[in-house]
Amino acid sequence: MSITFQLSMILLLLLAFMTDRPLLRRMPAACGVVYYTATTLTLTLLAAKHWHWNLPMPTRFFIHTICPWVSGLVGL
Amino acid sequence: MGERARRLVTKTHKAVTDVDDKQVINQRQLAWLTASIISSGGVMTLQNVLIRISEMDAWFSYLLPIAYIFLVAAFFAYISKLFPSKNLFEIAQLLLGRWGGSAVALLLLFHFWMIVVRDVTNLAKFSSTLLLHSTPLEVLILLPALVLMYYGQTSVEVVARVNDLFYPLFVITVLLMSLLLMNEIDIRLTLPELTTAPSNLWSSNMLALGSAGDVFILGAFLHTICNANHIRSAIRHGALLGFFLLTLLLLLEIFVLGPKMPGNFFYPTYNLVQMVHITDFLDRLDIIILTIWFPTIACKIIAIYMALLIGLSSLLKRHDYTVFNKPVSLFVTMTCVLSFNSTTELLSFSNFGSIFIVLAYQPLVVVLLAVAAKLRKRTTAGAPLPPPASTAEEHPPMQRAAQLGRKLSYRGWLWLGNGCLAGCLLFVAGGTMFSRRMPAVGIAGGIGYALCLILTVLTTYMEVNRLKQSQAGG
Repeated sequence: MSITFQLSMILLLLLAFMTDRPLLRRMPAACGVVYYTATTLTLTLLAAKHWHWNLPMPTRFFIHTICPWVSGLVGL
Repeated sequence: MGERARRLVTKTHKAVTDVDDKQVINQRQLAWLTASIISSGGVMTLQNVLIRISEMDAWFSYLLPIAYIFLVAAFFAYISKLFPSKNLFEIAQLLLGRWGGSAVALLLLFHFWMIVVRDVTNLAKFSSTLLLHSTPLEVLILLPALVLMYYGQTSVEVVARVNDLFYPLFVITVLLMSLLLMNEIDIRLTLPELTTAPSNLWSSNMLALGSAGDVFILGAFLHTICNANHIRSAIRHGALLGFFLLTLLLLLEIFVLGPKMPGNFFYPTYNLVQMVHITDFLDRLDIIILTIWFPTIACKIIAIYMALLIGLSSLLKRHDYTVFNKPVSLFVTMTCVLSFNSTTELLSFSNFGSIFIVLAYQPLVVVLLAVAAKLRKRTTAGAPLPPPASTAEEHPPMQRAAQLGRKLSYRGWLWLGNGCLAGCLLFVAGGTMFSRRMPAVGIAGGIGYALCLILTVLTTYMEVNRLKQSQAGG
């Protein structure tokens, strides 16, 4: 994975957190939960990509199970 | 002075963050946004598969998707008439309660997430394969994600205006291509007409239906138009315009490249653009055309992303979605990077995955919400209802008659459009039945289908026009 991409992602996450922090204080707790969940998931995915962990993505199910089945149904 | 400045800053901040309450777009903008969603998606995917399945009859593949979008448009008009100024997520919560509505919203959000991931990766792979070979794919994914992050701070009005600038250019380039490729066209390549097995035509129509399901994202923008008939006509007209352009592109691909070759290309539309050879001077016209197509594709992706943000904020019963913008756009970026290992996987997901996702939940959601709305209408028949969305039928008949003269009314154009679509179906069915014995019937069926499709585009345009006139008169 490109080092430019990794650094950009970390910088963007930091920047986003710094600019959104004052806004998050005024928001209800549920918004904070969604915000921090999205940020944590992004960091986890970034780490997974960096250390080559094989995380199950929803698209894998479609690519390996559904698409061959649909492709067979349409006769390809 | 300092206090005044602080108040001004607070007001400005409020205006920027409370975007959702004030979002308003007109029906032309909604129509062009729909057309952009339909046509820009088809440019990058699916056309090669449609040609592989139905060969020279692939250009008949958009009949079922058009009918499906007509149904979706009618559904959106029905629910937005009952719940004006509410989007699909809010309506689902009102009709099905907190848990049922949240379940529907989660289904919609999953679909929107999948299609935004699909489209961002498609755009990056397209750029990587054809234009920027040595740029890392992650960087090509990050750039559209930054665009998403930027537009995520704005509203759908901004996207609609940007689309207003680029979509006419997109239409002009596609229409001009038939002129630019005149020296390469061989009409005999589409013959024999309508001889493909009906099962193949059905399959290609079903696959195209998967991409038509993207139009469900417009449910997130229902609150931006208060007139239910405007929503219906805008979606109908936009979809017809988009499908007309895709049909034209498919037909040109068959005319120029034949019924076999485009099936083996990854991006047959790009190969078609490369076939434009007017002079040596205009040999690389593909770069110019792509600079016009890219912003239109970007508008589609931004619209899907905005629908995702609106859905997420509606789930939390909030109107301000900008707070989620940055983490969600970065999350989308990472899922784009990790979702596909190769171009083959991406194209397989784009071509064959969409139809499954669409058919797995959209008909169910449509039926569920329509039935719940009907039941609610019955139970609240005696109780005072919120003011329904205005419709074109509200204006006094005398006034309307004076405005429209002797021409058809809105309902007249609506049913004429439906009739033209039925005509398309009849021509295809008739041609398929008799063309093997009488090839002339197949050619007549093809010409009839093309004429009916053009007439449907015109009738849906007239629908939009009539509503505009009656609104001006009202």
